Amino acid sequence: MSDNESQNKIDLEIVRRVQRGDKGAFDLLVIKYQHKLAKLVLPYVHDRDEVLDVVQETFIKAYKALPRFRGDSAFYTWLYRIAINTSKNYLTAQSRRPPRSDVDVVDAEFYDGGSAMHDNTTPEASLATEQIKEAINQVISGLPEELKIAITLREFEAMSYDEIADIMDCPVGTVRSRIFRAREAIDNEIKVLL
Amino acid sequence: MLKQQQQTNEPNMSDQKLNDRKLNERLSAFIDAEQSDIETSLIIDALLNDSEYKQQYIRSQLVNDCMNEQVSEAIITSNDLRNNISHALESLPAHFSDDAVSLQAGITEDIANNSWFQTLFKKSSEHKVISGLSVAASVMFVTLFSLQSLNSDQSGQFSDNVAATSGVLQSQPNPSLIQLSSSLPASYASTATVGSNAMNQDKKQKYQWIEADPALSRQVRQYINEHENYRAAYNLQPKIRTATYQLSE
Repeated sequence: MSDNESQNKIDLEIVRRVQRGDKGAFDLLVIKYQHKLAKLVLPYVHDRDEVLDVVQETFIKAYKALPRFRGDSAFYTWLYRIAINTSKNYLTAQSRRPPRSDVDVVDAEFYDGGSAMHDNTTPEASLATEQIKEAINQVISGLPEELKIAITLREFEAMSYDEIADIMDCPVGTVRSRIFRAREAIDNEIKVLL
Repeated sequence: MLKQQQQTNEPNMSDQKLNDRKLNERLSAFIDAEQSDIETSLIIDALLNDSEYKQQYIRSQLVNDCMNEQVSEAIITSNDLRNNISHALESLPAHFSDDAVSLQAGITEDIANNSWFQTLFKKSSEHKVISGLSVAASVMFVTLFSLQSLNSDQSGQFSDNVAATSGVLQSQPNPSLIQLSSSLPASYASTATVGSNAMNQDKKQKYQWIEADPALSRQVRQYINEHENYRAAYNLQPKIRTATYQLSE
């Protein structure tokens, strides 16, 4: 099973709960997709507040439409489509044109719209992001070799635990444990910053 | 160095800390979608019931987004987005879709037998809340049985009383369809006679088991299943079994 399929399986489990009346479960989807949606809508809007407005509206529309979601497509594809439509509607309402290069829903996951808003982000926001990235890099560089390799293959090469286990010639359970220990070290550092 | 620290610390760790580490390891696998099927439901349950666990998830997700260059600077400095969404959802009705996306059937059946599930919820800071929920649900069902006896000669009002008693059922206003009772297979439900001691033989014949709305039946059963899972986690006293029926003359 691919990473996307596995992630979608989790999403569907959460969606199923929301569809059965558990509103609180929807927050897990917000946590998971808020940053990805914000990156996705960047080409359409101009500043931080607009990004937040469009992302918020996207999630609310998604919640309202959730009873009609049947799982025919991946949840994130469905959500990204709502986000793009919401962005376009937002522009129409503002009497502005959509960006020249439209973002395809299929490519949206890999889309990096970050540069479009660099001039409009606050210095505090940039500093916070840089601090987090720097902290992560520092922790990773200080990790024992086996943890460093495991987390690097997972995060930067997007390998599955099975693939990492093959490469590192160890059981999958060991890979899982090593990745967790790497994340634990990162979390201890990040906790202080947030 | 980290490894050395862990080797030094691990023998002195309390069971609780070891459990926490196991839970956190499962959360790490969950972020990578590398958890087992049975863990999926359990981790989601934990995230919904343990605020500390959820905070850990939020941080882990942020780190994950950061490492994949998916982090948004607009959101990283805003604590309002989730609050605003949550606030907006408060004014919207909860969904009760009859055709909820179905997957991983059978997972919930295994939960009650899974020792990790028990550990998980013992760890939860919301332990008392869940226990309270279980007790409240138990009281609700006892009340329903009482109402059944009290109102056995007022079949028209009975279902309304049931709906008024149950907060869960109120959110799906279809009071004429619901009642909970002792376990009966669905095939039996269409023909069996209600066996209330309060009823005389003539009255018994008036009340027949007939099939209720299947969708509503599923919904109630799911609620009871979840209740049963919580009950099992705390070794609470005995099972509450359910069937749905509609009173008719």
